[in-house]
Amino acid sequence: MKRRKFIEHVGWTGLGILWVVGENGVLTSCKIGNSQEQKLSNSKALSFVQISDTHIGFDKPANTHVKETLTKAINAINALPTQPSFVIHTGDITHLSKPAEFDQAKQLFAQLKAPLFTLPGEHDTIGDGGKAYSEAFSQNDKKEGLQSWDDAGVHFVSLTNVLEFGEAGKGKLGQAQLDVLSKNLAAQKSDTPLVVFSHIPLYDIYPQWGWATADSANLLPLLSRFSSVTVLSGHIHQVIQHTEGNIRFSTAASTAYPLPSPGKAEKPAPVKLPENDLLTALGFRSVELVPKNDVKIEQHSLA
Amino acid sequence: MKYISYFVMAIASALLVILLSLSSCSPNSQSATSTNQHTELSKISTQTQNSNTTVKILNFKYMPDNLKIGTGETVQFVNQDEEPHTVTASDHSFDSKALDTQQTWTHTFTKSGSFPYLCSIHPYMKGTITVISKRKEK
Repeated sequence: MKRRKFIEHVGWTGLGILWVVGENGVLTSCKIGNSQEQKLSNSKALSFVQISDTHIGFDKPANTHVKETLTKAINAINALPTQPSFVIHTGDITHLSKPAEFDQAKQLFAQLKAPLFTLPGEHDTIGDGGKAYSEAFSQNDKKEGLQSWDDAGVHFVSLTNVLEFGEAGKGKLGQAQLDVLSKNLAAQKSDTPLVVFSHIPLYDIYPQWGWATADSANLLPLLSRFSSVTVLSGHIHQVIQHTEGNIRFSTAASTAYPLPSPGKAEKPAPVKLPENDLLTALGFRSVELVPKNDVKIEQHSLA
Repeated sequence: MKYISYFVMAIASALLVILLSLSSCSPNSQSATSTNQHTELSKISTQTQNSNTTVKILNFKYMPDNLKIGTGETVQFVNQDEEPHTVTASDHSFDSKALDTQQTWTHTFTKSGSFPYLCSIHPYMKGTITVISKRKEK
C-alpha cells in the first residue's frame, strides 16, 4: 500500500516507474554476469562506494537542506558493515562552483572514514574551466582529466567529460584524454577487472538533454577486450542500467534532488517530491568485487 | 493527484506573469552601469534597448535565441528559471558565469559579427547575438 502510494505520488514524472526498472536492471545484469568468462579474477575481495551529485549550495524547493541529506549519506556510508576501500564522488559536488560551496563540501566530506576520490561535473566548472574545483580537491596524478589507481587487483580509471562540449551539447572526453586512456589500459591484462568513472554517462541515454558523451564511440573499442568492465556515472540523478557486450553501464542517484526520467518532462529540472519520497529517491551505492564472483551493485536509499 | 498538479501549474504560471511584468521595469538601471562609455550611442537607442536588447532565459531557452543588435549596444540576460544557467560564448570571448534565479548579466558588444553562445551547465541550450556595424545601419 505504501509503495503504491509512492508510485502514485511521483507517477507523473515517471520517476517511480524508473526506480522499479532500475532495481530490475540490477537483477537482470547480475544474471547476465553469471557466465564463466565474467567471473572476477581480482586477488581479494574489495568494496567501494559511489556517491554523486551532492549539489552543495542548491536551495530550491526540491531540496532546501542538501547539507543534511549529504550528511545522512555520509553517516550511512560510515556505518556500512564492511568499510569501503574508498568513496568515489562522480561529480556535481557543488551547485554553482562557488568557493564557499567547495569549502562546505570539503568540510562535510572530512567526516568520511574512507578516502575520497573525486571528478568534476559541469556544476563544478562554471566560468573557470575547473580552477576552483582543482584548488579545493587535490588532483594527484591527473593527466588530461584522467586519474587511475589499482586496488586488490582491480584497475580503476576516472575520466573528465565536462570541460569540452560535443555537438548538440553532449559531454566530451577529448582526443588527448582518450590517448592517455589508451596508453593507460595497454598495460593491463584483459582479465583484470576494470571500473571506469565519469560524470556524464558514457553512452547515449538522452542526447536531447545532453545526457550523452559525444566521443564515447571512441572509448568503447578501448574497453571491449576486458572481460569485466563496469562504467559508473552520475549527472542524471537516477539509476539507469545498460549493458553492451562485457561493458555494464550504470548511473547513480543524487544526494540532493531527483531529475525526471529521460524525456518524461519538458526540461531536465529538479523534481519536487514530499519529504519521505524525496529521501527514497536519494542515495548512494556500494559496489563489491569478490574473486570468482560477479560485480555486485547495491543501492542504498536515504529513506 | 491530477488536480493538484493543475493547481501547481496555475500558481506557477501566475507567478511567471508577475515576474515577467516586474522584469520589464528593471533593465534601465542595470545596463546603464556598463554602458556609460557609450553614452552618446545609448542615449539614442535607449528606447529600443528596453524592448529588444533583453534576452530572457526561461524554460531552458534563450528568448529570443537569435538577436540582432548594433555595435556598442548592451544586451541584458535575465535568468527567469529556477535552475542556474550561463551565457558562455562558443569562442569563450564572454562568460556570464553562473546566473541563479532572477540574476541578470549585461554585456556590451563592441565588434560586429555573429556570436554564438550556450549554457555551460545545459550546453544543448544555444543562442546567437548578431552585431551589425552601427554606421551602416543609420
